[in-house]
Amino acid sequence: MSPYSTGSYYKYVPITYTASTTTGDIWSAWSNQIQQTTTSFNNTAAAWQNWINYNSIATTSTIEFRNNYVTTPPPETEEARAAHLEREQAQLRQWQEAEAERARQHEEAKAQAKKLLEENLSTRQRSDYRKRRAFTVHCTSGRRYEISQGQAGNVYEIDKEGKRIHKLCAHPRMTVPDEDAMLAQKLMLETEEERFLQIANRHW
Amino acid sequence: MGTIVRKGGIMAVQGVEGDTKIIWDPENPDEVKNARRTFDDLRGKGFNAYSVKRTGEQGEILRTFDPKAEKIIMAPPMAGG
Repeated sequence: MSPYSTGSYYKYVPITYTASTTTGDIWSAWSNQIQQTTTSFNNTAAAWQNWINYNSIATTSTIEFRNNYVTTPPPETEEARAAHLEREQAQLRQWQEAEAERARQHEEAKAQAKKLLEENLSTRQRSDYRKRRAFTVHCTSGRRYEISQGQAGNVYEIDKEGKRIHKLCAHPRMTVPDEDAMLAQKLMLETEEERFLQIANRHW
Repeated sequence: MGTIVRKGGIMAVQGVEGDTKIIWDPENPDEVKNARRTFDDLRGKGFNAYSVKRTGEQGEILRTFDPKAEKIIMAPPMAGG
């Protein structure tokens, strides 16, 4: 019978084991006994102390593990179960509230970043962005780029007809809202196009 | 009622929670000192600084703090992806 089915808090389980010649064998035997015998659950501290006491003198010893107790959980009462459930529900509520707060902060950050982006777009860029979540940057080199919603792999070099000819990826190293990343990409392309191209990976 | 137009500069520092604004009056040495310190700290961390107009015109790169700048955007360092 499993010691856990007794319903008692503690169960005394005596173990006697005759170890053979070496300290290693004693330890190994003790370990094996625990792993292999279902009733061999030990008061570890007592067993350990016993092993320490014997291992230095024994070549062949009989070691008796005493004070070996099995701990079993008490049966849960209705009250305890209700309290348990209440604790779990409180934790769930706490987690949901934290998630809601994180979502609120995320939305707030996104709105703030969108405002900053729109403030720093030309009239044409702002209009494009509001219509299709993308805008075009004209560089002094004559090249043109489309920055679309996102922050990685969202920059395209485009031809005169607006067809995408290369996909570029350069993004802020830290986590920022998409709109902040788009503004950072726009500003770098406008002011340091060559540096942007050096940093960016070209995917096609 | 007339519109109150604030004299001075504003620095928007991009970050995970959206941008943080720092404002200064170019005639107030303490405010300028504070803004310059923030600027230098962020530049030291690799942030790119751009001077832009409030109207959204094309910006220009800033290597050193300009207390007369109308608006500065501090963007995080970029990496290839």
